Amino acid sequence: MISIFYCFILSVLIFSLGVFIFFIKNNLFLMLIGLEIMLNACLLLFIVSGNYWNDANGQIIYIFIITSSAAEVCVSLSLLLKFYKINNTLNINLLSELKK
Amino acid sequence: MSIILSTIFFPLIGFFLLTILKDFLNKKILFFIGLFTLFISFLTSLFSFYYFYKFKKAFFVFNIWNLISIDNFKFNISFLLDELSLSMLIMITGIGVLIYFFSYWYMYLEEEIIKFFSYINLFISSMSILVLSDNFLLTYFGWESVGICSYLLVSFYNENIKNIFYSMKSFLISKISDIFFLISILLIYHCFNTFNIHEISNFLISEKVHKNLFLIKLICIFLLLSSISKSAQFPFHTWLPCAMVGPTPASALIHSATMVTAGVYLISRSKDIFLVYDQIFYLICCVSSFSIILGSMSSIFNKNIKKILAYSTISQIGYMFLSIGVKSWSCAIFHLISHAIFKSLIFISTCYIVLYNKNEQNIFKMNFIKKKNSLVYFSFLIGLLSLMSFPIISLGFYSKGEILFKILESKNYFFFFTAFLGSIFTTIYSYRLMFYILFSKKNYFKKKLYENFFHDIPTLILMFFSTFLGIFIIPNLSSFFSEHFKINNFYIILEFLFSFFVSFTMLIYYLLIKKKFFLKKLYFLKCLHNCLEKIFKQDLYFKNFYSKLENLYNFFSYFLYKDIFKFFIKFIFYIVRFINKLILKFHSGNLKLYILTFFLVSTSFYTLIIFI
Repeated sequence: MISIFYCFILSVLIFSLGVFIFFIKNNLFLMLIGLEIMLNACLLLFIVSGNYWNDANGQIIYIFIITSSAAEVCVSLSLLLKFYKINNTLNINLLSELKK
Repeated sequence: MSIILSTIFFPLIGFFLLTILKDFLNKKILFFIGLFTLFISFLTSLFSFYYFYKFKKAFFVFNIWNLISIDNFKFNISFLLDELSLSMLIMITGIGVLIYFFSYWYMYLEEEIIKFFSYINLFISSMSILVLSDNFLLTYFGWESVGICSYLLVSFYNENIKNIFYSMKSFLISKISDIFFLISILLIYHCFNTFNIHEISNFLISEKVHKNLFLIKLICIFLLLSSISKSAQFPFHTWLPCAMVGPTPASALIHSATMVTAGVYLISRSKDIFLVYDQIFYLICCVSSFSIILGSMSSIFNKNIKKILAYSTISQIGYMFLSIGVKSWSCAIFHLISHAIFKSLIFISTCYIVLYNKNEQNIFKMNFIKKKNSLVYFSFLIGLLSLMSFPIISLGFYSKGEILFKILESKNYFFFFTAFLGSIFTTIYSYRLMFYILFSKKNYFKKKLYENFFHDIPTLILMFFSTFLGIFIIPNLSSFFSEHFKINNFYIILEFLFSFFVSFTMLIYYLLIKKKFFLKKLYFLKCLHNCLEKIFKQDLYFKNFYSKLENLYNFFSYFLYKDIFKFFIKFIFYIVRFINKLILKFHSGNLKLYILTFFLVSTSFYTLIIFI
C-alpha cells in the first residue's frame, strides 16, 4: 500500500508544475494546459483522499469536476481560436490592452 | 520739547519721500526735498542745543513711546539730551547737510543720484537714533541700521562685481560688531535688569558690583570688541579700506561723521561700566596704539589716494581710542569732532582732484594746477595741514596736542612714544600727499571742471572751521566727563616740541624723498623702504585670517538658513514618493505580473488562514 503522504507530494509537485507553466509561458494555449494540469493535480488529491477514507464521494466529485472542466476547456479553446483568428497571435503580452 | 523728534524723523521722512517719489518728480525738486528735511533736522538740533544751555540741567530725557511693558521688562523709545549726545548730533547733522549739498555737484551726472540721496538721509536718521537713544536696545537699532546704510552706500556702483564683494566684506566684518554688541546687551540685561544707561550708572554707583564682577568684565570686553570693529581698529580694521569703492562723498560721510565714530561714542556713553573694570583701559591703549602705527605705516606705503585717506582714518580713530584709554574722554570727543571737520574737507577736495585727473587715483600719476583751482588747492592744503596738526593755525594741532598731553600726564610713556611716532608718520604721509599732488609739475591728465555754488559753499564752510577758528565751535566736554584740564608750562613745552617735530619732519622728508638727498647713497635705507613697502602696502597679513572667518560665518549662516522642519517634511515626501514608485511598477499594464501578484497574494492569504 502506498502511503497517502507520497500521493500528497505527487499532487503538490504536479500542481506547482502547472503553476510554473502558467507563469513561464507567454502563449495562451500553453497557459491553458498549465491550468488543466493544476486542475488534474487537485482531482488526483480528491481520488486519493476518497480511497483513504473508503468513501465513494471523492470519485463522484471527480466525475462532476472533470465534466465541468471539459466544458470549460471547450469554451476556452473556442475563445482562443477566435483570438487567433482576430489577432494572429496567442502571445499574452501582445494581446494585453492594459498597457495603452 | 519733543522737537528733538524732528531731528530724527525729518531725514526719515525725506528718505521715504525720495524713495516713493523717485519716478514722478525730477531730480532737482527731489534734491531740494532731501536737503530741506536734512536742514530742518540740523536747525532743530541747533535749537535743542540752545534750549539745553538755556535751562541749565545735567540732562533731559524725552519719553516718546512706551513700546513694550511686561512685568519688569520695559522698553521705551526715549531720547536723551546731554552735552555728549548734543555735540555729536550737531556734528552729524551739520556735516551731513554739507556733504549732501556737495554731492549734488559731484554726482549730478549720475543716473541713480536720488537713490544715493535717500541712503544719505536714512544714514543720518539712523545715526541720530544711535546717538540720542537713552537705552542700549535703541542704540543697537541705530547701530544695525548704520551698518546697513553703509553697505548700501558702499555698493552704490554695483555694476562692478568686485565692488559688491568689497561692500559685502565690509558689511560682514562690521556685522561682527553687531553680534558682540547684542551679546553685551543681553548680558547687561542679565546683570542690571534694565537697558537704560542712567539706571545702569546709578546701579553701578549705589550698589556693590562685586557679585557680578565677572559678568561686567565680559560686558566690557564685548562692548570693546564691538566698538573696535565698528571703528575699524586693529583686528577688524580691514573693512575700512575696502569700503572706499563707494562714491567719495559717501566715504567722507562714513569716515568723518557717522559710522566709524560710533565706536568711540559707544565707549564714552557706557563709560561707567568701563570704569568698573580698570584693566580694560590698558587693552584699549594697546589696541589703539598698534592701530595708530599700523594705519599710518600702511598709509605711508600706499599709492591709492583714497586708501591713504582710509588708513589715515584708522590711525586718527586710534588717537581717539588712545585718549579714551588714558581716561580723557573729552579729548577723544574733541578730536572726533575736529577730525570729522578736517577729514570731510580733505575728502571733498579729493573728490575734485580725482575728477580733475579723470578718475586716476594713483598719487604718482596725479597732478594739480594751482592757478585755475585755487579754492580746491587751499582747501586740500588746509585739510592736510590740519590732519598733520601743523602748529598754531590748524585745528588738528589743538586736539592732538591735548591728547598727547593727556597721555604724558597719565605717565604711560610707551603709549606716548607710539602716539608721538604715529603723529610723525601722519606728518610724513600728509607731506607725501602734498608733494605729489599739490606741488608736482607733471602733466598727465586734465579735465575741465566747473565749480559752482554747490561745490564752493561746503568747501568754504569746512575750510573756515578747519583752521584754528574751529576750536570756538567745539563745545568743551570736560565738565560733562568731570575731568580737570590745566594749562601749565609743561603743556606749552610739549606743544613747542610737537610743533618743532612736525616742522622738522617736513624738512627731512623733503630732503630725503623729494631731493633724494641720502636715499641714493644709503643702500640700507632703500632696502628698508622696499621691505616696509612690501609689508604695509596691503592687508595681506590678515587676508587669510579673514577669509577663514568669513568661511566660518558662511558655514554658520548656512546652518541657520537650513530649516530643520523642512528636512522632516522632505523626509515624508521622499517616503511617499518611494511608495508611489513601488506601486507604479504594479500598474505597468503587464498582464503576467498582474496574474503573478494575484496568485501570490491569494496563496499567501490562504496560507495565513491555514496556519493561524
